[in-house]
Amino acid sequence: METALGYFLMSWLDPYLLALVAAGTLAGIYVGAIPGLSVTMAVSILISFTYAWDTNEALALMVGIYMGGVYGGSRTAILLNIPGAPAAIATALDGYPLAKLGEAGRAIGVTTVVSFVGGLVGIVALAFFAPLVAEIALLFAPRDYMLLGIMGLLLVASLSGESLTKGIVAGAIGILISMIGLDTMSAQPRLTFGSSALLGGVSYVAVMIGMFGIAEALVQLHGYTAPAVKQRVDRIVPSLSTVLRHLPLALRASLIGVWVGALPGTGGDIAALMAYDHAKKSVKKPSRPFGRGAWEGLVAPEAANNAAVGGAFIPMLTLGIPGDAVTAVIIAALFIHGLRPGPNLMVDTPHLFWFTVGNLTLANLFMLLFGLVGIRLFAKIVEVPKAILLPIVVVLSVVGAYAINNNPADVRWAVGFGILGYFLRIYGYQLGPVVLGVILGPIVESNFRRTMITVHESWAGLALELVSHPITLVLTLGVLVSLLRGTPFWPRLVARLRRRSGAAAG
Amino acid sequence: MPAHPRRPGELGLTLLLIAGALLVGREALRISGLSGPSSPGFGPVAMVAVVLAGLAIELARTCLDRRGEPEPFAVRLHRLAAAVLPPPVAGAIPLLLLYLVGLELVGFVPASFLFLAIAMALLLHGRSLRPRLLLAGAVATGTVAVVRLLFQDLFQVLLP
Repeated sequence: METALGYFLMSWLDPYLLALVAAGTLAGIYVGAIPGLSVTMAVSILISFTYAWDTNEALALMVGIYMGGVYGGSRTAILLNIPGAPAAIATALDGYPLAKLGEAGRAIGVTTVVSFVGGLVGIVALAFFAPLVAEIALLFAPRDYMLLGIMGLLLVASLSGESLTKGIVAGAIGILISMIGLDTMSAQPRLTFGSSALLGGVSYVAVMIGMFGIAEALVQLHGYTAPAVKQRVDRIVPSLSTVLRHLPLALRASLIGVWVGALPGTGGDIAALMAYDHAKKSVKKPSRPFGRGAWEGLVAPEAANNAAVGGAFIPMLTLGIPGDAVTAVIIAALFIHGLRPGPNLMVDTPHLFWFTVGNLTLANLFMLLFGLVGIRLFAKIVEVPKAILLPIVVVLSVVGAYAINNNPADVRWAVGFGILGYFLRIYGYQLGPVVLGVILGPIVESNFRRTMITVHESWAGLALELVSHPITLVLTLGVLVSLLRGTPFWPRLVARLRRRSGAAAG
Repeated sequence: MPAHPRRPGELGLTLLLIAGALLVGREALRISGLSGPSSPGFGPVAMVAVVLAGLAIELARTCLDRRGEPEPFAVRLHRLAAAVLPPPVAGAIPLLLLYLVGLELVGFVPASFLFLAIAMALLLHGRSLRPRLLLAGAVATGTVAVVRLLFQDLFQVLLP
């Protein structure tokens, strides 16, 4: 216990690590606050600079960026009605009406405090539940990892945007990219087209930087001339009575956030929308009608999306399965630092777990501090013209891509994937599934092949394997439910079950 | 399937992706050991099949989408350019490729300065040329200096 506390306080007591968490949180808030510069872009570009660093220093910065980025997205949702991050979509529903009523400053103040509460609940849940999940996960066989990887890939359904088919195509393209190079099990070259330059494969960080950095910058060039909307921001720090009045809802929304964030395949955006829905259903007398500036409509999603950060770290650290595109990028960064997220991470390097929990807590505190102190500054920052911002994003992407292996080929890959990603985005192919495929593809494929070897290449044997062990059976059911949720039958099934339970109760 | 208006160039992109997938599929079939599900070629072939199946659905959907009134080629080309490659993007992509060449030829500092200055000068609108060039030049100089100082000197990151 004392050792755990020591690791927890490591960043708190080391001035350099403390500064890195603070800098990461500040950068995360800044990038998250700029419309179009998503937190995924921030994490993809900024973490690439940390590959040569010591693992602890890199982790300190990454955690800060993630926590700050999720919170930062609420700024533009409130001030401009443009969510800076997907997790802030629900925030705009009542946040912007509040700004139009002249309460932008107070809205940001309340958002900051409830985000802090949500973040804290998420961190407590992570500290309690991650060790338990990791203990169970130690019993996992390759088939279980395969199922977990599939569950993560099914996140494609929620990241697909306008068309599920396009999401699946994008995910499969990502998996194909991950297969380029020497096969790790047989050492045979795959999809190299006879080129020795492709034997080492394509760096997944170059793919991420290209897709989330360069492609996003090109997409943002559409309508980059739109003038920034200026908002007057005053009356920032909320009164204690305001905070206390909303605390019960913030706590309930935080629990929703933790739960949804911890489910593989869901993230802060879904958590926030579910919490908003919960607030609409559970608050009988809102301060104003929902959608017209109800404080409850702001409190619930903001508490939930920051609680989802702690929740998302549970499957990420214990199972190696990302909750959303950002955690997928963080998993990739951990791989580069030689860490293998999964149950063995908790066994082999328990200090890293408590170190991460300590960093998250610290980042949460910095978020509260910067959020309340720098409101006026951030309101100005989002007004920087995109004509200046977007070329800088490209240069940072180039530096980030080169920093991975100090290889000019990675820069060319990043630019190539950036241009490809731009055209895919323009035609409705989302880039999140591509990156998910690149990261989860090898996990699913290698474990699938190991499982098939154990069942002597028999499909019937595989089917039996998937239902013959209690943990595997639970995971198989989880995959089936996730699959079903992505189909049009799911809403009908839920409606039918509700009708039946209603009839039984009546 | 409801008929949506077809995006300009969507059919072309779908056909290009199908051609690419077929090319990758041919390469995937060349991987030795397509004997069973655990062989190295199984995954690539299966994924190409998934991509092709998805693209076939998208192709059918695109063909069913409303095409609108027949238009002269020049008008269609103009609509395609406006939707897919508006002037800033049409300028940015070649500039990006030139930046790549510049990085290898003259190194990070001059190539990045030129890229930033040209991109910003082109994107900054509503100003006359001289102040636009001055602002772009000043911001480009500042950015390159900060990147070099911050990343190379402080974070010890090697620059391209």
